[in-house]
Amino acid sequence: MTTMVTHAKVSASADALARGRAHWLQRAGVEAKSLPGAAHGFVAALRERGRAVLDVRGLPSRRDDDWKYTDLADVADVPWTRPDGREGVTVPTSSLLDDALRAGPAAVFVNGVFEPSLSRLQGLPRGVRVLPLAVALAEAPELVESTLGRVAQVEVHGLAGINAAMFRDGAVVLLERGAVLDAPLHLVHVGVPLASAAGSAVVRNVIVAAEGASGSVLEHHLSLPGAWMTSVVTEVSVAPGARVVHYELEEESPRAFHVGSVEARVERDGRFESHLVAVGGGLARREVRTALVGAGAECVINGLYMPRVAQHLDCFTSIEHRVAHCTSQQLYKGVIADDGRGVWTGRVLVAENAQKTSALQTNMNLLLSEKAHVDTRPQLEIYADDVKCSHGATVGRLDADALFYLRTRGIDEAAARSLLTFAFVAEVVSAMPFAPLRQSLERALATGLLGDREVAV
Amino acid sequence: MLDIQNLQVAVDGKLILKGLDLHVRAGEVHAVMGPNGAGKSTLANVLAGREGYQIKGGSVQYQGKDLLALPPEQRAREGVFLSFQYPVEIPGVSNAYFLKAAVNAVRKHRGMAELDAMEFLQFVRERMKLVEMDEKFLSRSVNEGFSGGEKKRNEILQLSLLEPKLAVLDETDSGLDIDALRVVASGVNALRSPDRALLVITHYQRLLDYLVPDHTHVLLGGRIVKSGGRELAVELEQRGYKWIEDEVKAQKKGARAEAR
Repeated sequence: MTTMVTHAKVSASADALARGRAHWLQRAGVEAKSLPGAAHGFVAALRERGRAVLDVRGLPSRRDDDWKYTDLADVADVPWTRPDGREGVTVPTSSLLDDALRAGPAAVFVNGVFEPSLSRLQGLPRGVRVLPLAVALAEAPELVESTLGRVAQVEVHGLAGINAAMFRDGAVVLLERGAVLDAPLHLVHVGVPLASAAGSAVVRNVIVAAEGASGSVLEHHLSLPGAWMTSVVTEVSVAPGARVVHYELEEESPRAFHVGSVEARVERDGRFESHLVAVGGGLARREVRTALVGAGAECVINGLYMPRVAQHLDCFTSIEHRVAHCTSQQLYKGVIADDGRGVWTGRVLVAENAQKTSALQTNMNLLLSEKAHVDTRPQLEIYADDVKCSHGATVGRLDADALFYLRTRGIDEAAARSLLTFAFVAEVVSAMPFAPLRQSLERALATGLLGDREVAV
Repeated sequence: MLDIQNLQVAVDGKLILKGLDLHVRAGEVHAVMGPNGAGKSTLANVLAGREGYQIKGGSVQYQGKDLLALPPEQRAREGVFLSFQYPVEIPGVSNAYFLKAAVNAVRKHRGMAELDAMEFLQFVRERMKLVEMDEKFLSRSVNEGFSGGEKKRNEILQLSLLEPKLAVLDETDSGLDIDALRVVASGVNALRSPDRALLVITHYQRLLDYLVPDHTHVLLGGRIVKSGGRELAVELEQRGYKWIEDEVKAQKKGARAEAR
């Protein structure tokens, strides 16, 4: 009896995924001619690769090991459409960033398309150039040719295929040799669901840092309430000696389906940092894939995921040490509340010739309720023998002794719980280099966790 | 101030306190001494409200209230303070934030205005002098990486900031060298007042050289078996606990013989 039920479930899920595949293939066919860059061979080839991956592999199922704990059946079986128009859009409020921070330079995309009226791109430092991808493909494709489709992996799964086949716009951020962009440029992606149908945006960002350049970008995903899907891939090319810090705030609305990936290729003595805060979406999958390809390259891959009521947040990281003398550090923390569900997979691959690799990986999870659930999977594949690699994954609850200690000092139970939870997440936030962002997030998280109580100083 | 009557407490089904009586008036210092396993820490934890202790009988009245019915934070706000034998390390929570949150929670309950950052800093600096604590301990995480002595100083700092009516010191002397012991004791002494009572729970009497008790009680097998003045503590230090155990046995035997 049990077996039959399971079979029925699997087959219903497979049917849903098959319908999703068919829907997206159909859309890819219809929209092909209207997508930017069709005239350029490298773009056409990328789109064809994407379509082929979707066609052959379909949407990821739980039989795919990388998707073992995330079932896409419900979100696959939705006829996600592309919204045509939009009216009177304003950027939704953010629970993470304060207004002062949001007043800085920003490229704003509404439903996946650049929105000049909401963007502020004046006054960028010298050597920093920002333009919409659709414009770049129309007017100066050579600006992105060496990065677009060459950093992000397409063959990994059907959703990557969808993005490659169908991205319509996104930001291109070019940091010329020696350029410095300290305060992060905001790439704000806003989803505005349709009243009549499920809406979607397929976005591709390209960040290119030339030799010795240093810059930071804050990718911010927000959507208004309603059925919404975001597919986003951000490709980051870090030239020798360059440094890129990528912040990602994912705070989509509770019904949104978000699938996004940041993929970096780091050359000799380059440095890439990824700092993720994922709090939004009904189902969200965030991937960070980093390839260290030149000696002395290093990366810091940090993240915080905080699923609450009915949310499923899946974080996937992959770091490839392809050559010797590279360093990677990872710290991911999950705070799972209510009946939220967290998934973390961290893959570190050390190639055979990648001697003297240093790879540290930590994943810690805090379960705040009986129903909270997390699956954590550190995956180290080490083919070199002279390396320093460590990994650790923990799942726990708030420390009962600490809770009692705080309460014996007059602090009520709810405040004590919030305080300990804040202390748990603060470590991830405090590793962010840009102080104003750090402070804004600390305030936001403390307010969110501590109610309206005063924040730690 | 504190009336404990026939208190019976079990841990994991095993009876630890077997009918404990203790009466403490405002302004008094009481020492509760006893060998390991007598139930000293159980008494401290039960008074502070730690979970995992089953009250099997008896009562604890604190300023006329049923103390055992109050959650730990309420006890603290009403003026009960426990100095932990093993203060808890809380990584990621700054000591300053913790102390301020505690002070303001208690002040609010007492109908006093909460202290702002500046006022608090002034207050805490002044009290840190009392326990000879460096200000750098404000910015560190609560007790994290503190030495044994630093942790105990931090406890007494909290005691002095929260200004409780009843302070329970659980093995405050354990792990302290003689200098730290003196500092901690003088910090406590500075807080002695006619409306404040101290319950000093300890295995050894050396802390009592500095914190001179008005009453000394011997806790043995879950009961107070003997009470006296300061001289009892000194006697215990010199003679150990064996003679009291023998005395108790003899009494029991006598009682049984009488019953027959």
